[in-house]
Amino acid sequence: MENKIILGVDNGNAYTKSSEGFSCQSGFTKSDVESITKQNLLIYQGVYYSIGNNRSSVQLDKTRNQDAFILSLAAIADAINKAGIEPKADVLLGVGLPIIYYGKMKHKFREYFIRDNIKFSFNGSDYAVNIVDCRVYPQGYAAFINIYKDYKNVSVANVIDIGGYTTDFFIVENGIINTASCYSLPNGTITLFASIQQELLKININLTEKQIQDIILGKQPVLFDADINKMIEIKAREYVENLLTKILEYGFEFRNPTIIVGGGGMMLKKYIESSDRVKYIENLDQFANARGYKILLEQELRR
Amino acid sequence: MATKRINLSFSMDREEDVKVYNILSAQKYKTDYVIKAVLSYIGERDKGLDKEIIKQAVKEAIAECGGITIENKGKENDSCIQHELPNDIFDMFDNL
Repeated sequence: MENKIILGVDNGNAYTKSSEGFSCQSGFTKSDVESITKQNLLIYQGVYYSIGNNRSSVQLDKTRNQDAFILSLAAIADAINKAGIEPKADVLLGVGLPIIYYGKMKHKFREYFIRDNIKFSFNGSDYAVNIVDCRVYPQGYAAFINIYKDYKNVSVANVIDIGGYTTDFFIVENGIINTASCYSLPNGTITLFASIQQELLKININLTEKQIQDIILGKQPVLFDADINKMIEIKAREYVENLLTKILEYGFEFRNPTIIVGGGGMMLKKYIESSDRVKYIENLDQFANARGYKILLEQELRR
Repeated sequence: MATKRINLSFSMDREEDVKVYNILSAQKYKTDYVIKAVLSYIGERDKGLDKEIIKQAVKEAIAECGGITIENKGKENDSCIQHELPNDIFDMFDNL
């Protein structure tokens, strides 16, 4: 094929994001019959997937099922549309894994994506793609690559990637990971949502993760008692403080610059910034990992 | 033989109108002049009628040269230029 798509896809447990700005909840409703609307409807191998209308349960090994692949097809369709090219393309994919799983899983994750002759439909348009290559990069560090040039002469900086399921953190020294400093905690924002949901269920209130997220972001999509909003705020603040304390226990020094990455970091920005613990913070948006995968892939292809 | 007339009006506030008005006013055989001018303009404009044949020829020429790859790299996404990453980074990935 003549068209070539170079794309970074961040297959998060909470959200799937792309370097081209695509974002959807990491989940779908699967059906053997066509749904009423074509919006976000992906058809692949005769199965209908309504993309992004819920979140699948957390998956540590994403190669165990087709979910990450299906969600990535939606991101590929979006990239093809944005590039304004014919819906036939060879795709070069950059993806990522948490640093602590990186060494063990990178080859398996790469092979999972490389496939030929993929025909699918998304939002009513047909696509034919080959995923001709896939490169896997360490999550969090890929996001840091966006600002690498600003930190290549900084002796020590902390990187904290607050994801859906895990929070990964490590130290970069002159822009390069100190491999002895890579840690992961099972304390992503999904655990925060779960603890808030449990607290609310005690008073017979059932909120979705999205609703809780909106309240934390100050959007407040539902009108509740000020007490409930206050409770959610307190929980979010406690979560941030606990997380930062745990990271300190691993020997991290918050007087050094700290780079906060990931959708969780964006959501909790005001709580992290208002904490007395962290002295200098730089926030990267939820697309930073995906953009980093693309930057690294482009550079690797040029090597 | 039927004769049909078209009345034209020119706004003297517009520079282009004034130019054309002056040109037409100066012509002795205005109808003849307009017919020649319009047909000449149409002829020029439609010279590209064979553009499909030209496109096909260009495609064949490109294919003979090995083809052109269209990549999804807009200027804002052409991050290679902005990010010259040292080989150490990629070597580090291999060792992780």
